[in-house]
Formats: sequence, structure tokens, C-alpha cells
Amino acid sequence: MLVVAEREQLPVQQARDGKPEAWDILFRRYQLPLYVYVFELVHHEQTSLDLVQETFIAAVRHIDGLRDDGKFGSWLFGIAHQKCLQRWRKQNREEVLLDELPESPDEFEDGPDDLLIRQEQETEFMQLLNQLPLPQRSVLLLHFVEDFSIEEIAGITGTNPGTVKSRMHYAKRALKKLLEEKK
Amino acid sequence: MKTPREILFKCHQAAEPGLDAIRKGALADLARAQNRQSSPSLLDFLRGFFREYHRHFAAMSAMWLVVAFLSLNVGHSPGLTASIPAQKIPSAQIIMASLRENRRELLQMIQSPDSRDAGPPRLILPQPRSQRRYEILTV
Repeated sequence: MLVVAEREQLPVQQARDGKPEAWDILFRRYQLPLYVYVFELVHHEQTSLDLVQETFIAAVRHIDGLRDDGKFGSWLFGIAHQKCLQRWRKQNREEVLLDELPESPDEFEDGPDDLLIRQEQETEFMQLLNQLPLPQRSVLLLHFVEDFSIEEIAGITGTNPGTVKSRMHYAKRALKKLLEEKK
Repeated sequence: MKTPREILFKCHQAAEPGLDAIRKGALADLARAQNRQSSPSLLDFLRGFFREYHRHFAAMSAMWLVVAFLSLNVGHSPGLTASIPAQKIPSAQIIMASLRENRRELLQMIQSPDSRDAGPPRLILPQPRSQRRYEILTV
């Protein structure tokens, strides 16, 4: 069952007060989702671990900058996303997160669970996910992993909600199509 | 049937030990940073000290700058240096000779014939209050 961060009682205030137990709970909660997101973008185990570590350190350092405690999850993913961008910038691969897509239809009501995958399709799903262009993969991962809203994903990726909607629409359509073809 | 989230998490389950180590490392860093804050070093103390009295230090620095500026101006004042020609400034030997002469004259004045004949100065001892009044009355 999908756990939505905003509905959880996360000890963000205690973490802000510098309590290690609170940070332990927050890190435990987000370590795997963060790793999944970062790994599926960079595809390198050690780099992904380094980026998660850098994200944790930055979170501890800049927790005072977080205004809304309920947005802790999207704020943390925003840091991780920025870390990925910095890494690509160093490697001159910044353009990988830029794309141009036509506007998608306004209605976007699909949840992350609308796409159910059969056991025999699991490996194919992972392969198909990696065939998607990086910008589409990024929004789709944020949608799948944490069920972030369009606005939250826009905040994390530093784009506008229209672009996120468009990327999500085309990514889901491409994924469904690929899965249909493989049946 | 599984959701994409379940599949993704299952795929990366093997990374959990590495992530646990990272989490523990981050918590240890946090504890170290807190320890550092609770026991401030000399540098922290100095930083706090200067921060607390920064206005005083700024005022003192400004004063010293003004003093330094003024003394530099005086030292390089053309009016003062030009008023004494270099040829007229006596040498060190002349100044010393003049000082010795002054000293000799001073000693002569102190040991003048009047003072030599006067003998040792009379010792003035305090008298009882009643006698003193009497003296005053008789004078």
C-alpha cells in the first residue's frame, strides 16, 4: 500500500531541534525511496549512495530553510534532484533533463497504482522504464515512488506544472504502449 | 499484480545495508557537530567575543585610524620640517656638551655660598596643639 508522506506524522520539528532520534526516523523513512529515484536516474550504485549521503548531509544543514513541515518529503527529493543535476553539470550532461513536448490534455487523474504489472512483466517494466527519456522518467519515478502531486513534482524538478503534466502524460502512455506490445 | 512502487523497491532491496551505513554515518556526523557546538573551541569563543563587542572594536579601530592619519600628517608636514634648516640642527656631541654645561650650572646654583653657610636645614617637629596656639598668640 502506498504511503503518502503528508499523512504521516513525521518528527520534522524535533529534527529541526537537532534530535538525532528524529533524524534517524526521517532517514529510515526516505533512504530507500531516495536511492530508488537517484539510482534510476544515474544508473550507478556508488554514485547513487554518494548522492543519498550528500542529500542527508544537506538536509541536516538546511532544515531551517524548510517552511512547511508537511512538505519535508518533496523538499528532500528536491535536494536529491539538485544533487543529480550538479553531478551531471560536472560531467557536462545537463541537457539530459531538457526536452520539448507538446502540451498534454488538462485532465490528469491517474494515480500511481493505476498501472499494475504482472509478475512475469516485472523485468520488462524495469527495462521499459529505462528506455524513457530522462525528463519523463524523472517525473514518473517521483509519481510512482512517493505519489507526489503535479505541483510537488514541479517544485522538485524546477519546472512548471504544465511541463510536468505533459511529461507524465507521455511517459505513462509510452509505458502502457510498450507493456501492451510485450504481451 | 504489483504496483510500480513495489517493483522498484523490490529491485533495490539489496542496497539497504549500504543505506543503513550511510544513515548511521550521517547521524554520527550530526552528533559530532552537536558536540562541537556544546563545547566551544577557542576560535568559537573569539568569534563570539568579537561579535558581541564588534561596535566597540569598530569605534576603537576608527580612532586608531584617525590617530595614525594625524600622526602621519604631522610627520610629513612640510611646514614643520621646513622651518628648521638641516644645517641649524646641532649635532649630538654639541647637545651633550650643552646638557653637561646646564647640569654644572644647576649644581653651582644648588651649592651656592648662601646655602653652604646655612648649615643643615632645621628639623621641624610637630608641637602639641596648645603650644602652637600660644606661639600664634605671642607672635
